[in-house]
Amino acid sequence: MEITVNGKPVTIEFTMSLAQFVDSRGFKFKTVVVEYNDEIVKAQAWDGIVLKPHDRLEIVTFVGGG
Amino acid sequence: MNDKLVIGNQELQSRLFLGTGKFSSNKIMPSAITAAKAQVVTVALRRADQAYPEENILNFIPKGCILMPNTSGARTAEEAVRIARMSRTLGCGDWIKIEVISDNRYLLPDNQETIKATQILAAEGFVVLPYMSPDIMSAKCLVEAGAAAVMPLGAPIGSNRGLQTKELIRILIEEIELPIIVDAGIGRPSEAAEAMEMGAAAVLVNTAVATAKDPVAMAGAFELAVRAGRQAYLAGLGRVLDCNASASSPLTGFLHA
Repeated sequence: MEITVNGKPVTIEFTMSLAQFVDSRGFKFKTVVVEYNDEIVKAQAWDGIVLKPHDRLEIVTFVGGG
Repeated sequence: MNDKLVIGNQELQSRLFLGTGKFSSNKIMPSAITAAKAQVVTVALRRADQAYPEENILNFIPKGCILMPNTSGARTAEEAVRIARMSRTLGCGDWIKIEVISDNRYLLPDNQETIKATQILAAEGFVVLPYMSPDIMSAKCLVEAGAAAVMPLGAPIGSNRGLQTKELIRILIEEIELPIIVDAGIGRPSEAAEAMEMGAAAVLVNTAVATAKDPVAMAGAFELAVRAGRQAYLAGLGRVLDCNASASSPLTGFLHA
């Protein structure tokens, strides 16, 4: 199935939770914030969300800035 | 001397805020922040891309610093609010620097959208420090909206051109009760000192330090300048004569008399 991550299409082979997906992308939980279909979801809730087709994720992190 | 700056119930010893953009390497950052004796450090929020698994910037910011995420990238109040909420979810506190810019050439802030975002975020318990074009009426609106400080620009972001807006900043310092923090444009320690001499509560510096040949040494130079300027302000600058001179030495008892 296909979902959108940071504005780009991403294909997922297996059913997985949001937590599993974030982990599969190599992100550490405490360093990223996730918006799931335009709602901020706290890391504690990621396990309970199973990704479905056309879901939209924004995964953001802190970078250097002034 | 007890000369603390209080912002959002937080007592600060340091009046030099430091940005973390444009450093050639994250590794320089801890030494630069330490040399600046900065207690407030800004960061930005961006999409995390697996293709560039950069090391987490928070590992390079000394513990005990107050993190002030900015809302850079926001073009409207709505986008700034969204970025602020996402930033707070990372669990690094309630401080937020509002930055709303839709002018891509000069990167000048949109004061009206900034006021809107300030109102919403202050009501949500954020400690809001809005970056703004120095305009007295906008500053008054920001006070009304619940800002914790007002941050006028000295010159366009990243320009290192100094206090081009000096007269307008002076008016804000005179008229606005909140701390005035000069943000953007300051390129030299002498300009930071000048802002502080005028009575600015603090300055926020990034590019001037990050793009210096030796950023750590420059951070130290700014630290000295900000302290010198503040001390001069507290000491009360001597008067300026419009014309003529006024001898510093006695005008009596000359040897040739």
